[in-house]
Amino acid sequence: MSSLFRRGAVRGLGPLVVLVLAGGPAEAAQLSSRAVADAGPREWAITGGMVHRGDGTVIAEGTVVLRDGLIVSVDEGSAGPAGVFRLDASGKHVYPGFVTALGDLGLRGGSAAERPGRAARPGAGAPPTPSRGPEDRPGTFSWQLAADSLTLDDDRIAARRTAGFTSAVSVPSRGIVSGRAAFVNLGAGDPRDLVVGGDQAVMVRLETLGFRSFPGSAMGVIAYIRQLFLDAAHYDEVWRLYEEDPTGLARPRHDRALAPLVLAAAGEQPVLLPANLDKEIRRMVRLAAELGLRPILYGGHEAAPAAGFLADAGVPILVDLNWPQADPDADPEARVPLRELRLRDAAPAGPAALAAAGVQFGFYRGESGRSGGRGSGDDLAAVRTAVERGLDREAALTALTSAPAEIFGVADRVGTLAAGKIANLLITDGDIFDEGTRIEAVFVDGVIHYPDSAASETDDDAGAREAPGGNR
Amino acid sequence: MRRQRMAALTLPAVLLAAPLAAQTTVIRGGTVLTVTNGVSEGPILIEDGKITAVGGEVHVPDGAEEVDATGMFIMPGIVDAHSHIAAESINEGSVSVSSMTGTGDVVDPYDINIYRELAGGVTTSNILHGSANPIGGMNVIIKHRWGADAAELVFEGAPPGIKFALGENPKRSRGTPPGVQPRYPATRMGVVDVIRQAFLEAEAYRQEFRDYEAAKARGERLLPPRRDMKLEPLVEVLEGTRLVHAHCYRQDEILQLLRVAEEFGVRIATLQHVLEGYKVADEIAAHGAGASTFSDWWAYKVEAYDAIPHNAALMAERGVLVSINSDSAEEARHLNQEAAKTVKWGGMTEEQALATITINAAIHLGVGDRVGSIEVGKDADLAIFDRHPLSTYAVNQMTFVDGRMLFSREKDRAMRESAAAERADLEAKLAESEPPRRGPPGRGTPGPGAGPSGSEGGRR
Repeated sequence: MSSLFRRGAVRGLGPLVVLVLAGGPAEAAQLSSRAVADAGPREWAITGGMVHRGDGTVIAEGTVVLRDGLIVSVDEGSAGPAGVFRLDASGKHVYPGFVTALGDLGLRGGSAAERPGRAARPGAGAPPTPSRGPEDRPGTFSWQLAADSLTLDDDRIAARRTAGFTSAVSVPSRGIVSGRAAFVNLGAGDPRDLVVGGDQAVMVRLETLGFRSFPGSAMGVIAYIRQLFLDAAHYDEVWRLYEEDPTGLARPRHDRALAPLVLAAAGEQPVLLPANLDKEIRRMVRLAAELGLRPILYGGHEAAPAAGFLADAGVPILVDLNWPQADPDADPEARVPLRELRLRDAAPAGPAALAAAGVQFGFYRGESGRSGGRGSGDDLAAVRTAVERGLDREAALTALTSAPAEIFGVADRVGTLAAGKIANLLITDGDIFDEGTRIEAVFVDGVIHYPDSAASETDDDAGAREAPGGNR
Repeated sequence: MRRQRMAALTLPAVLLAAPLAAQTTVIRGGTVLTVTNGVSEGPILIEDGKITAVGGEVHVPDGAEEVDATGMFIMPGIVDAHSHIAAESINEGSVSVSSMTGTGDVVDPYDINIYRELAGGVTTSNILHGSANPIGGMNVIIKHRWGADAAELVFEGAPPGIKFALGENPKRSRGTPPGVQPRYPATRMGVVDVIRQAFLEAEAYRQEFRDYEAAKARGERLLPPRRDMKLEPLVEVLEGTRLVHAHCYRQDEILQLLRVAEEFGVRIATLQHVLEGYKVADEIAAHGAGASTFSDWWAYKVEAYDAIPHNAALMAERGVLVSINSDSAEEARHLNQEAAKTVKWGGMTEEQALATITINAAIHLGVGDRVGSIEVGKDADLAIFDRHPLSTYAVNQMTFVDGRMLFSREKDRAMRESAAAERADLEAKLAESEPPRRGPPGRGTPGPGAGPSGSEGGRR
């Protein structure tokens, strides 16, 4: 029976898994180690660990009981029910599973080697005939739901899970309005079972389509967003009137781009807006206010000077963990603008400023290079940098767990360790924000996964490390 | 609640900027070039960002900041009626009519040109859309409040405007890249056709809403028309509430535009560049358009061959209100010298010359009651030169915006030193923390997360 769990042990992950199975040993013994990940025990009692519930409270020696993918109870010192798999977490820490709050996990299949190094060029989605105005709905794919296109054939999922991330906000990454975001669990099995929230936010990317196709400029794409959401509000109004009583009314035209934006236009569904610099943060908050949108900003490298502004506006922001750094390929003698030096210094201190101002924020990883970021790809290391720069550990944990759950409207399901919530959690051998702390097990939907070092080696950035500035 | 708090952010920028200006300053000594009331002696009293006294016995409250301008020349802050600084994009060139766009949506408060032009005495600039299309985007007028955020840079209360463009640029005389379908129009006939069609569309659009409101008032049930952000600015043009700033060169295209505008009852606020304006000055004056031209740029393209440096003076002689603009972040820094050329070539008086870069430009932009001259009640936007500003040797020493000294040569020297020190500190600090740990991940931080996970990074 012990061989059953050796998979975890042989990776040098310490003597975490001391299991006592009461009942059904014969059944369990037939499971291969892979099958544990696929199905595994349905009931667990994790005992003796320091349980960080994610709501600011900590239980020194807590017991977390899981059953059928849900948390049954979180309490202090109880033994838990009989007849379940026991996991002795004495001396360990238990955290809610982390959320990577934006990306396209599960939407680009295949291995790193097969994927293009960068997302599809923005113009690639443009029609062969250039767009001649907002009426052509340039770069607009608002009808696309990430939840409809999820695949597990994406090795980044295992890499993230290994790093403690049990959920992700995933959204298509092509176009100006690229689609609607899903909040998904980074588990295994059928992707349809992984969707926690299927329609959580509209993704806006402010890409331009070149000088010959509208919008071809930064102001053009903002003008387009303005017209698009006004059109969506109008679409809603005329269809309501028509459906109320069509007699004698000209029938409105169906528009697949507008219909899915009606909720967002009414301020009832959040809209993701890019805002990395202070000026962009203010610009996007003001645009959202003008249009009556509920914004979620993403980027946030220059968040510190805008923290008070964001707090006053009550707008949440997702902070890109790809901290801006010097371009390793740049001419070492080139003079870097002072503004850029300031940003490189200040970006990791942004989360501390946001927390101090009372702004709700989460973390994600943006595309390398796009916002000046050239990080190694280690999200937790990047969060630790923010902690070194003044971010309170509890606030850091919130930003990795309950804050993104709240921002995306699924806090009633995930984000904290509480009875009735989804059993997403991780077990570590120390405080997660201490250098050198190891993640020993990750539960997604109540299914145990062990860190898979192979997963990380196929990561995009791992490839980039081997060939710095290479042939991508 | 969230909505209410966000609404507060859209309050006029004047409210945001007001606390910054609450101080009293007195400028003593020096020659005051008021532009509108001749030359006067100081002092100038500034309270809460406004000029409250010029010359004579001035009661200076305790605690006022004193500025010694002995031997210097104080002129109104320079107003540049044609600028493309401080914006993250200038042309939406994909369409013939891009009136749905506006530089006000992309104001860049980080642009160093805001500060550099302050050093040349510029305090107000008209940030125009480019000339890629017959009807371009909306403009924004900014004050050079260096250090303020984008909303605070905007000249509060300035009338809205829009860019039109005629001739070689909108008709794409310099060609279309291979493989790209050429965009209409390709001739000056086409340019004026695009403008006429757009006005007709805007009229129809206005009528559609009027009909809808009338029908609704009669109790009829019908669907509301769709708002069109391309046509709404043009309706404002038809109604005279949005100023047209029209890029133009040749006499024929100038007349074309004035005629099509008159066809729709529209007055063109300013003709920009207008290098052949001297040939049709009477017609421009009769229409009531202002003319904002260059001092002596010419022959940089075919339609600029007939430019003459006497243009500004000749138009002014025929009753056209004339300003000199820069259209350039470099030239904007010495507009005082550009104005001086009108004295040399056109025989303008010194006061007339100064007016071309101050009050006339301010009137062109609809802000003549706020800036452009040194008068009691006006904004305390001032430039202080060490010699008469029309002298080639004059160097601007200090610039005030809303009564705050945002540039002085002395402050600038101090800022250079502090910037150098800050740079040295940051470089040393970053050298320690960078380059990133490129070795294997630390013990027990298994696996880096995924790399490029989409393109949801910042906005360039």
